[in-house]
Amino acid sequence: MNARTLSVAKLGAGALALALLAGCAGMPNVPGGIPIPLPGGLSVTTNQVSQLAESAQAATKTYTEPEEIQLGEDLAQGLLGAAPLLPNPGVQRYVNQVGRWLASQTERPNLPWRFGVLDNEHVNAFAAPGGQILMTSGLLNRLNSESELAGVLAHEIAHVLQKHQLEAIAAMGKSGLLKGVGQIAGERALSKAGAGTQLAASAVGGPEAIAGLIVDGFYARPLDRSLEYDADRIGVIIAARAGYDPYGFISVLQMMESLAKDSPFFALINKTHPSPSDRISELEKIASTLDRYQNGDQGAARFAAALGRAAPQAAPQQRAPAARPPAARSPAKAPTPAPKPAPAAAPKTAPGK
Amino acid sequence: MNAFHPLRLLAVFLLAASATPLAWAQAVGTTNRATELKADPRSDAATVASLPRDTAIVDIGRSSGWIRVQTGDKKTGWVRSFHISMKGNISESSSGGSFLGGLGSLFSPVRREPPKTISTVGIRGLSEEEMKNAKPNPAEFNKMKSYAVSKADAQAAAQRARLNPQTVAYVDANGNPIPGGGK
Repeated sequence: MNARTLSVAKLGAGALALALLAGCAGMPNVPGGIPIPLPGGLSVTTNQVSQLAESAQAATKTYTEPEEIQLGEDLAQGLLGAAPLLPNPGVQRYVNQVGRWLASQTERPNLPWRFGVLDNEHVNAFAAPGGQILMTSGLLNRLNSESELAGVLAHEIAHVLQKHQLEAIAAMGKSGLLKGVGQIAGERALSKAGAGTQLAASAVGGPEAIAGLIVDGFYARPLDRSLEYDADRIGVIIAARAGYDPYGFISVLQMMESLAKDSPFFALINKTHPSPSDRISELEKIASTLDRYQNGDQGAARFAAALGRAAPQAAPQQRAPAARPPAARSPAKAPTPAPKPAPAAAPKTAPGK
Repeated sequence: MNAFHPLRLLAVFLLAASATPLAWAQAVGTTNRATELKADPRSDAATVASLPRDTAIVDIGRSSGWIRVQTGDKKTGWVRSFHISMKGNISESSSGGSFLGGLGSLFSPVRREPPKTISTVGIRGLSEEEMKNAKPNPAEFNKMKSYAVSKADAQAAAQRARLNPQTVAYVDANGNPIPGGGK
């Protein structure tokens, strides 16, 4: 699909809304359709709108990979507008090392995978299309090992591989849920069309329109339960491929099982996911597979070092849930020397290309 | 779960609280089926005790698919993770966990909140309501890009950590390998 087809798709979301408005007003049968004024003195007719809407419905399903990536980057910008990054470069790079290694074990190893820790006490993690993944410090601080972190990141990686969020966005467009976003994106494309310029310089309406997806509740709506179970199953396999103990993820779910019912910081993740108990039950069905890799690395010492915690006491088997110092706030060194001591402010070219 | 008495757990919790008074979060649970308490985290390890379903336990450690537990009668050993359902936590929530029905207030030695890591920003931003204020933050996104690690650098880090990659196919809901399900 080329950029033109896509821009029609973008236009479609807004056009659908316009068409609905026109329909509600009791549209008389005017040849050529009723002119609808747009910002900037432009106009479009209802007939054009309905044509665009049809094209949009046909086109929303298919995004090229660059468009998928652009959409995800814009979504990540929006999430970062809701909560900033944890100001700890050592922790950020550590999480990227683990996440990028996991992503390299998958069928999409060359996406521009990026991982970020949001400075927020809510317990949650988010996947955006094309390889942008964010988790909260509230979640990170409740983990005990690198294999648990790997479990969390691999679940989100699985959502990206399966394009779950991308398809949810396409579905939102079709169902008319993209209220504000659709209009902004649609108006932009329309005004560009009116000016006779190349349609859709930005594949999906730009960061403001895409942040509007979040405003419209994109990350507050659950995916289908079966997709979460799929991501759980794919995630534990990815963790095992990367050399980790896949049971790290079961530990994370059990942490959530013990805490989620009573803490306000779990409210959103509770709303958007099956219960931890149900997720554990689903994973028990593949226990024989998990058992084959249970001697994988747990990385408790590396994890503690990266987060600036005291080293875990004794052997991993004897680990008790110890008192945890405030983890990630003060800069800590990554456990392995950073490959390049990149200054925090220097933008880097996309990895993996 | 059927008949489970919070009071029975109380003894377990008091035990746990005295054993590890500084723990900020002590997960408690019950066996979700009849199972065995093992001396080591292996299915062929010696059996310490047979635990009926709904036996109260405190989680005192992990090893892969096994949880190290302490029971109300002071037995310690290992139980398969899948055989435990977590019921609450004796320190993090305000009530001591819904499971405890308020008995958590008896556990004054245990810290009631996890350490605050986010002192300046607080919790603003990621509740459902707060997400309605999302706006693009290109500066933070540029920072996120600057922290990205290349595939080659991630591989080098994994080698230094002696992570040993495995060949594993994806599996379906019943654990059967998916044909063509990856390496």
